[in-house]
Amino acid sequence: MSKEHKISDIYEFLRNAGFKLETQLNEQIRNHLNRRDVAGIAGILANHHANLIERLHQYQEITSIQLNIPTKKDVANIGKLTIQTEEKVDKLRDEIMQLAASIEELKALLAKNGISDSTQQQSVPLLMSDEETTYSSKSNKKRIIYELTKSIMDPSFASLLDPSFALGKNELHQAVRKLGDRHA
Amino acid sequence: MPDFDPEKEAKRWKGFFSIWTTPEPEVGPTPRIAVWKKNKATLWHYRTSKKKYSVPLFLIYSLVNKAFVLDMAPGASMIEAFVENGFDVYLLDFGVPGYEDKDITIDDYLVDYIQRAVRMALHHSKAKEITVIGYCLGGTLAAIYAAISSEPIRNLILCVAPLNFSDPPIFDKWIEAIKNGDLKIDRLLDAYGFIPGKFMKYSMRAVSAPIYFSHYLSLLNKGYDKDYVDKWRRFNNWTEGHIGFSGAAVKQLLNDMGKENKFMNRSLVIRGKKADPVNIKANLLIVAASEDRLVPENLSKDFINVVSSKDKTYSLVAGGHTTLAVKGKVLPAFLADWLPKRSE
Repeated sequence: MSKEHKISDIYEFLRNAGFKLETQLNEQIRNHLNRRDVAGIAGILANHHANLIERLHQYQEITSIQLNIPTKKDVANIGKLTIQTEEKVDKLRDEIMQLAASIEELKALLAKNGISDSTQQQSVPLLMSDEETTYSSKSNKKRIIYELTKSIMDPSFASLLDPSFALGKNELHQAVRKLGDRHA
Repeated sequence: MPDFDPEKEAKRWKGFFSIWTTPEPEVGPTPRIAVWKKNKATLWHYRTSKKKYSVPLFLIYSLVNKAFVLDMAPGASMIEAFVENGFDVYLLDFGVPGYEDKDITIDDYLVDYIQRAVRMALHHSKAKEITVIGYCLGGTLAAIYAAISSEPIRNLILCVAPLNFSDPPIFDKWIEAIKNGDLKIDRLLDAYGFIPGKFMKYSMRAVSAPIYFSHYLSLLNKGYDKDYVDKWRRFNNWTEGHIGFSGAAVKQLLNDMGKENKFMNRSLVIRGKKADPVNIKANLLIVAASEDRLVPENLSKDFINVVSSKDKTYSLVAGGHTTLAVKGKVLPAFLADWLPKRSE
């Protein structure tokens, strides 16, 4: 065996021996710790430690008033507010996605019933004023979309911000079905 | 000394010490875009340029470690392997939570994060069905989610996922003490609120390998090989990079899963909905690793018997806990044989 091989073997030997030693030591530690009495002691220590942490937090809360400094809890509460806002945005996004899906469905239905897409180049306002209730005779699609948006927006747009507001999909589906039946 | 190669030895020791003297090699090389964000979580999309399959993949990684282990480096990336083989991939990366996230429960992770992200992935991909793949604790979450989901899951793949806690492989006396009420750590978890990453690291280390030095000897053995050193450093970066955990989630996992084994016993309830494994009807592949000390196969093997899936497979592969996550450009055999024909 060459010296170069011997040198490589030294590192290889070190690695293998180290791995064996590590495994044996870990097994020994596990065997020593994996006992009911040790688990019981750990339980008592955990309880004492929890008690200490709780007291420290209480004292910190009290002193933070005198020192006029925020605690970690205060900072976390602000973080939570952001998370809550994000949650509301997520709910709005869900609603919008449902509406978008329903509009796609509506488009498909219109196409199926052979209604011309004459408004493709026109922009349709999301909310229409009362004056706009006179429909253009040229625009079936515009009228349908108006009826839909009107029925959706009736409860007032602000109610969208209410998490319990379950608008949208069901109403829209019903409206789509009605209009589909009318145009069928 | 004609056989002694001083150049190689210099390289070896230089490579060994480089881990303290040079910057960490980059991770996550596969191109991706963020399609949705919530709190610290991000839903990443890895688009394939060679799309072959209509069913995209949705990956859920563990809450304990960082998800970059799925995309370590070119040629050592599970995500790259999927993308190269024609799959569109979505990865839900939970990010690094902080103290403000201490009240996030497993219910929240399942409904507000995973379910919502799956909906986003379905919407974004315009796919009719999706394949959900969970790794480690992400596998546990994936399985529970599949049991409550209303989304169209075609395939469910659970890799080294702890699911059945009836027979704990290590520290069984401690689990017994927890079950009997001799060891209660709920109060401690409440007091801390949030478990910092370092605590998670040392807890996991205490359970798997309290003494851990052999990896440095492996590095010394091949320190002359730059590719090996880079690979070692990426992996070491991952093993050292535990992330913090919400106290509420730890408590729920410990009590509902570890103590009462509710999911396997069909009594787990998530946001008022029964998470019964019987509800799982997707094609199921459970994968365990033969050398996995952290999640041995008895933690996942029997799960296959409690689901309703007609198409279900259990596969035991050679390797350790992370072997499944770090792969080359080709799909590993257990996936290459199973996934493509169920993704068309």
